Amino acid sequence: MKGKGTYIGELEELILLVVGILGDDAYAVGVLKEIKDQTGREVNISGIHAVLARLEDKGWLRSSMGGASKVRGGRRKRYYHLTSAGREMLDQVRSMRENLYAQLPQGMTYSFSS
Amino acid sequence: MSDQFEHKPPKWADRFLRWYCNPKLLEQIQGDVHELYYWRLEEKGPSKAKKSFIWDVIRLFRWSNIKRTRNTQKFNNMGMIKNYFKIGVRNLWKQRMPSTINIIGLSLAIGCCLVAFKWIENIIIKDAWHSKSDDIYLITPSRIEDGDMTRFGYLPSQWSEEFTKDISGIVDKSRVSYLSPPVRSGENEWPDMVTYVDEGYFRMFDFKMIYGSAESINDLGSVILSESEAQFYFGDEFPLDKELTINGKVYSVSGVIQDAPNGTSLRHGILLNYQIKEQEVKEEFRSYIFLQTEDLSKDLMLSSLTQVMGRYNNENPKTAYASIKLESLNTMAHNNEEISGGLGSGIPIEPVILLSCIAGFMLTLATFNYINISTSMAMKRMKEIGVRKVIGSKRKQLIFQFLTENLILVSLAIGLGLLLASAYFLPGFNEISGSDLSMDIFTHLNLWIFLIILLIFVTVTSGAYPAFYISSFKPASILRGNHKTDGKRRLTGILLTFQMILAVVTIMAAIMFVYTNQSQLNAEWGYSYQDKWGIRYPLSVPKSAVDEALLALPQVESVVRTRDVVGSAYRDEYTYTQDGRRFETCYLYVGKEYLNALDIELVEGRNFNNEVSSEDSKAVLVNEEFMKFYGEDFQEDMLVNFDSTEYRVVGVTKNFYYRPFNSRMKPAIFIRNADSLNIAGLITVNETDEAKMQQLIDKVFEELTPNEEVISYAQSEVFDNYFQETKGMQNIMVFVAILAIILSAMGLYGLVSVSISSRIKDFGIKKILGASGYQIGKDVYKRFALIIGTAFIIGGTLSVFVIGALLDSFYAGNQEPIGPIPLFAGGLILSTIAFVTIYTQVFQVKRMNPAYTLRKE
Repeated sequence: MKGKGTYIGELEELILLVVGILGDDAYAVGVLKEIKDQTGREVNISGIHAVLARLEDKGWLRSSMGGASKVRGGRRKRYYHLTSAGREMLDQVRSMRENLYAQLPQGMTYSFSS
Repeated sequence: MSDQFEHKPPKWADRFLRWYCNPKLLEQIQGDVHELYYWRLEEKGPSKAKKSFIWDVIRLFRWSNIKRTRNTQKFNNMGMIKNYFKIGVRNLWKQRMPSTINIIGLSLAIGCCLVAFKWIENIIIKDAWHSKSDDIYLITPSRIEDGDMTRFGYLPSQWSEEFTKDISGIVDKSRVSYLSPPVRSGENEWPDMVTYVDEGYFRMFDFKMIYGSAESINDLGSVILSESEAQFYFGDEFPLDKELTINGKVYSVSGVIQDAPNGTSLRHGILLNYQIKEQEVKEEFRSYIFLQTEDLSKDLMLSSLTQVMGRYNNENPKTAYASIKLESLNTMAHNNEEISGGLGSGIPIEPVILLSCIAGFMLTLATFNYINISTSMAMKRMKEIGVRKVIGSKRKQLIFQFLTENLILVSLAIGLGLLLASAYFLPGFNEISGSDLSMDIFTHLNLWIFLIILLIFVTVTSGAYPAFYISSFKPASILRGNHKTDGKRRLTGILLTFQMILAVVTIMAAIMFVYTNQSQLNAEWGYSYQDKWGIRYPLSVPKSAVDEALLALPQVESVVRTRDVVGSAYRDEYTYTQDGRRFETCYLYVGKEYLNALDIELVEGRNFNNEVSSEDSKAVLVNEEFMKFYGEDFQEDMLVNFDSTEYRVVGVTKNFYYRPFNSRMKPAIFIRNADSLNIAGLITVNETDEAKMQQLIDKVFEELTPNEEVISYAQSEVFDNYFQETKGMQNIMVFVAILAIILSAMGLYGLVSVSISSRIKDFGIKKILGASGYQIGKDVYKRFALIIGTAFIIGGTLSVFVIGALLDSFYAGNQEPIGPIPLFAGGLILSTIAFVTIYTQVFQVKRMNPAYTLRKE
């Protein structure tokens, strides 16, 4: 990681992942629905907007205006795409997490689960 | 599906969102919340969806969505302005010809404005240029005289000491008084104005000492001279320690002081200590007292002065003052009319109006030109504007860009105008008006303020219309190329008409001044002035000796004596008729043969008798105008009352010009003067060569009175000053007319060129179809002939009134009427210039190969 500005929060990570999953179809409401579907967690739309803007500022996402859709009253959507920096960030977070996870003492889980 | 549209998100929430949200983000945010709403509507029902919608909108109300600027959307304004400048300069360069016309036109007008500004400023500032002027006051006492409360600018000399001594609250003081004693330097002696002052004069006022010290005024044997007086008396020699005899006493020059600038109220040439006048002049004389206060001590000073006034009133009950006031140096000259015997003079209102009118005319002409030409210049940049608009330039930005370009051009014009004014206009104007204005560009704060106001004013007035007009076009119509550049532009036609009207008025003014001056130069004066010479008798030899010496010349035929001289000496007084009516009359005390010697014709009655009987000493002659005012036919020995004396009118002379042509022909009365009191002479000669005659007369007096300068002049020269003055006025008018013609011709040129270039294809086609040169130009001529014709009719009518009034105020009824001949000449000049201007353009079209014009995209 490259200092304070590049710190990634939990919700940020989640949204970044979902944008990556949705690929070309990632926009605010889409992200909201996907999170709800996948995690059951309902994030407020305003939070999603704020996070998306922040992620874009950090350079992990970029955005473009897409086509209009009828259900939105002809208004266009802003589509987000994962950038290579964003992808790299996700990889880093994951490897760090796996690295940490691997250091958990073995067997502890078994004693609890059984 | 249908019930989806029945349920809509709550309007107020939607509106609230629209209101606070950054417009750049609105679309996506609004879209999102709407989409969510409909999604929830299906899943959870309308009421829940509505609640969620409202909640979403409120949650979205956060700073990042509200704030209007984002880093990515900031304009680089500096870069933009730099870019405007670059484009502006390139455009000026690309369209050199119209730009030059614009700049030259504007700079001419600005030059005129600067001259007018300098002159008017000088007049208005008057004495305020002294750095302490706010604290300097003139004492002005008032008392009732002849039934009216009169405010005086001076105090009696005997009390001048009292009014300056022990006055509380004053910092400095000076008494000032004037006298014209004889002044002698070497062999020559003549009366000259001497200013008697106290030492404080040099401290209070900002006149600079050039040589010597101001303190030397305290030495009663020394004199301080102004620069021009020093030059007058001593030429190139160093003036200090030179001797000057004033009123029979010898003084040595101890200092040289700066000349009082033109327009200031305090004038000085020769400065002596005030005490010298007190010693030499025993009678009462006028003493002007200037006091300088400290801040806030004016009231203290005034009460102190009032006490002195009380003492004065006790001792002089007959001339007791009612009150005393202080007049600031700043307002002294402007309030001159209220102050009897005050110093300085008020603002001459007529020249101020005339000059501001001229400057205003010129600026209007140049601005109209500018509007017309720069609109036409911008027309050629239509595509650029269209493309910029398509790319997304706002109208505001385009207007700003045009105004920036204007600013460049106007700045250039102001620079050039400054140069023109300081190098040509101002020196020329100084020569004509006898003023000493100079353009001190770097030190003159008011000038800079004026220039900046002028810059902004001209930029906005001249640039606003083109900028707004051009930027209002729809890009689609510009790029399709179907915008109208002609026909619709009625405004330019109106502006041109207005310009032409101004041109007509100025042309008429110039013509009338030239015409009147020419006819006055050749006009009859009503008497014979050829071969007549005037002299002033010297004091050192008897008059009979002078006559004898002159008559000894073979060229001299006769010498007669008089007191007042036709052409120069004159005053006005009331004459009363027998039934008590009165009218103003010019009176001249003349010798008995004087009028006869001038060959002035009598229409009625007789001339003065030869022998002076007691009866004939009360005989007067009057002119025809006098009889008109008198209102009755001439009768032998009719009685009039003049200057408390009853006179008998014995004859009536024809009207003749005893004054220059700028004064009205007035009733005149010629009173016989006792021969012993005559001081002037009229010589009739048979030598027509004036230079030779002058030499002969000078030689006579050189021998007769070697120590006294004797004034002699040809009678034909008595109006020379007047003619010079009218020549100056005429030159100004001609100059103004030429400028106006140049400016309006430029405007016409610009407009014709637009008109032609917008119809260049028409001309090409006409030409191919075999139209002759005349047929091609016909349309153009027709349109502009209409404008010029209208302008001439309006302008001609206008000038009959306006120029008529101007002429009347200048020539006082002796002007030529604005008849058909001058009007015709004015029309001819205007139409010739208009024709030539238009023809140069039509000629180009005629020569142009139609293949090029038609191929032109």
